[in-house]
Parts: sequence; structure tokens; C-alpha cells
Amino acid sequence: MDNFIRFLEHRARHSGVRRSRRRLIWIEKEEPKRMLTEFIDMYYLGYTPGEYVVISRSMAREIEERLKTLEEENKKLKERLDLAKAVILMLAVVITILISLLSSA
Amino acid sequence: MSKYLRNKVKDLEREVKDRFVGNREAIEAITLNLLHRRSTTLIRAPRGLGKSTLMILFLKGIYGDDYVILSGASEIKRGEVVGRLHIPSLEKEGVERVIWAAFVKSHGKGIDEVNRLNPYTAANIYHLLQFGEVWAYGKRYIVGDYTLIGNENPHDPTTFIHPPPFYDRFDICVFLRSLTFSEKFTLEDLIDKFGGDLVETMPQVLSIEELEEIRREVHEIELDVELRGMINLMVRDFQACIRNKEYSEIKPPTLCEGCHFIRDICSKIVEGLSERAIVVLSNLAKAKEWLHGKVEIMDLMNMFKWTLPHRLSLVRTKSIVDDIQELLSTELDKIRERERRKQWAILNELYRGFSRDLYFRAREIALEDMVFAEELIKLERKWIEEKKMREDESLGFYLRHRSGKLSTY
Repeated sequence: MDNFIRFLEHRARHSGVRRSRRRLIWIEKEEPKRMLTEFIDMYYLGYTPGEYVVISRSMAREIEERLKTLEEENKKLKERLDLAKAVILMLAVVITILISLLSSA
Repeated sequence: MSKYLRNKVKDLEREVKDRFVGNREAIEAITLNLLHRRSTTLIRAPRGLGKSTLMILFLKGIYGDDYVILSGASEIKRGEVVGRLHIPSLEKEGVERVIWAAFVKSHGKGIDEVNRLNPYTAANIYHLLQFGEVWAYGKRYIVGDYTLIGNENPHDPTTFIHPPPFYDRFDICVFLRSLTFSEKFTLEDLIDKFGGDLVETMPQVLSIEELEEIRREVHEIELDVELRGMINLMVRDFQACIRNKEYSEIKPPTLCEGCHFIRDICSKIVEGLSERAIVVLSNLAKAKEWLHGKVEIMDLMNMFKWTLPHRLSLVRTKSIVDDIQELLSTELDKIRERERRKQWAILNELYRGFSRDLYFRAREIALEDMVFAEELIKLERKWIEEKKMREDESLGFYLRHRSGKLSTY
């Protein structure tokens, strides 16, 4: 146990931690993280991601659901866009016919 | 005297390197491991990569021709490993006198193809390694100091599966790799240079007396507290399990489902390290300090590489060497992260006295580091007894109730 305390004291001496009255003070440097980063921390809190980004099972399911919803939305919008294109094409044909009829009359 | 002996050890290493191409790290590992009493080394490699050659080079370099090699591939009788009865004494005097086997009496011991030893021979050798003695016909022989080097190809089809405690008795396990394109030319040149026999030309560099003196000097070296702390901490990282896997019938990865520490090293290990690993690592660190004057964190990482492969059982093994390298890389990140969090300084303060603010900071850290959590929970018990905090606000209470099946903490 004494050697364990000696180890802690040794680490404390070399850790750059200062004691000021009842407080411990140290300066933290921004270091690129190589450890795992939670996806949620990276996405919502803007953490710099480490080498690996991990997500929980529930979060993965939620992302999957969101992707599915977005894909369905995308599909609907594409259908509407195609319909609009067809209408525009038809209108263009009608307008062209009308113009040609009017000009010949 | 030390300098003279250090030079002798360096000469031994050089003589082996002169005759054995590539695999520098394995040679350096074996050399370091020779420098403590009752040294045991296991060399693993596929067939034809020089396992036996390397074993004999070291045995010859230390013991000249005075060494004994058992071959797992041949039929070994008990009398050849431990001892046999002296028949004339039994017939004429009715006395059971044992003639102890040369393997037992010799300081230099080699085992070729360890994995092919039959279970009875392996059991006898296990007893020798464990208790430093052998028994035959009710008589005991105390085995003194020795150097045992074994080799095996674990993928050999005739392999016996020896129990983990047997392999745990080998201090280190080194792997040999096949030679690169240019190294094959070097080997051809070496064979020419040494007249076609690399082993026979190997000189005896050390004497038994010199090796004894070296081992005594290495034993007397005192490691500094930082190094001892790092060894203990890293070994603990490879043992700890908040769900007490040592005594659990369910093992990782099933045991780890829903565990707070599921992404930690512990979830990749089925069977952790024995405390023997600490003794081995301390011996290696002492040897390194004696031979080279210093031990750094990367040296320690290398020593772990040689100490883990035959002791750990992993959840998934693709290539044990790469898997262990990956675990050690994660461990190195963990050590850096601990430095960044200043957690040992915080724990040191908490050992001096309870401070609620510091305790809550330590609690946050403990949720990231199980080894730290263990130490904090020990302190919590003391504080709860002293009524400085309530049990239901402690980390121990939280972890017990979170996982629902705990524990010894």
C-alpha cells in the first residue's frame, strides 16, 4: 500500500497539477483525441472525433429510422417533381400548339 | 564486474544475431529473459523458420555442449524426463534408488515441439516449473537454477492441447517470422561463412558461474516506483472486469451485454492475465535496466508483447500478434488519456482527505476507467463508514444497480 501511495504522489508531482489553498489547478491543452468518440457527442456537442466513432444500438436504430423517413420523403418529392415536369411538358406542347394555331389564323 | 558481464551478454546476443538472420526483436527478448533465475522461454513459429536453431544457439552460447533437449515429436518415457529406478540396487539390496534424468540435472534445458509433448510428460515438466522439484518412486529431487527454452508450432496437426497454467509457466513467448527477399541472400551467405553449420560454430560465451552472478545482480536491481506502477496498472487493465468474469460461467462477449465498460479492453479478453505476468515483467524490466541502463514506456510495451500471447485468451483471434498489438495500442491511448485527466493526482488528493467537489470529478473519471473505479470504490467504503457520504450516492452503489449482478466491489 505504501508503494501505491508513493506511485500516486510521484504521478501527482509530475502531472502539472498545482495546489492553491483547497483547490487543484491545471491547464488543459487541446489534444487530438485518438480514443473512441461517441457519435452523439460529435454530432450535438461538436467534439473533435477520435480515430473511431461509436454509436449505441438505440442511436443506430434512430439513425436508421431517420434515414428511412428521409428516403421516403425523397421518393415522394421525386414523384412530385416528375409530375410537375410532365405537366410543364404538356403545357409547353399546348402553348406551342396554341401559338401555332393563332399565328396561322 | 558488471560492465564485464554486460559486455559478455551483449557478446552472446551478437553471436546469436551473427548466425540467425532477421527476427532481431525475438533475439533481444530471449537475451533479456535469460537474465533472471529459472528463466523459461517459448518460441513459436511455423515449420522451418528456425525455432530449434535459435533455441540451440542460445543453449550453446550459455552452456556449451552441456545441455539436454527433449523432443516432443519422439516417444518420451518418464525415465528420460524425471528419473528411473536403479535396477541393480533393487535386485541386490532391495533398495529403490532413483537415477535422475539428465534433463532434470542439467542447467540448460530445451524442449523441441512443446505442443507435441504427451500430457504425462507435460504434467511432469509443469511440476518442475511450478515447484522447482521432481518426484519419482517416492524420492524428491530439488532442481536448482536453470534456463529452459521450448519451441512449438501451435498449428501442427499432431498438437496436444496443454492447459493454460502450463503455458503460464513460460515467462515469455516470442514469434519468428519468415525471411524477406534480401534476408534469404543473407542466410545463404551466412551458411557459406560458417561452413554450412551455424549451430556447431556457436561458441560458449558465458559460463554457468557468470550467468549466476548476472542473475544475482539483476535480482538486486530495484525498479523505481513509476515503472512498478506502470507494470501493475497495465496488468490490472488486462485483468479487471466489473462483472467478475474470473468466477463467471458466462464469459465475454455474452457477459458484456449492457455493461458500462463494453468498449474497454476487458470486453475483448475471455481469460485475463495471471499475477505471474507482473513477476515476469518486473524481471524483464530489471534485466533491461541492468543491460541498457534505462527502461522506457515503449520498452515496457514490447515486454508486454512477449508476455501476453500465451497467457491471454481473446474473444476473437485473427492473428494473435496483431490482436495483441492492437490491444496494446488501445492501452497506450488509455495511458495518455489518464495523463490528460490528471486522475492519479486527483486520487492522491482524495487519499489525503475527502473533498466533495473532487470526489464528483473522480466519479466522472471512474465511469471511463474501471481500474480507477475500483480504487475509488475502496475509498468510498471508508468514507461511508466515516459518514462522509451516503451509500446511495456512491459509485459502487450506482454500478451495482446498473448492471444488476455485481459483485465483489
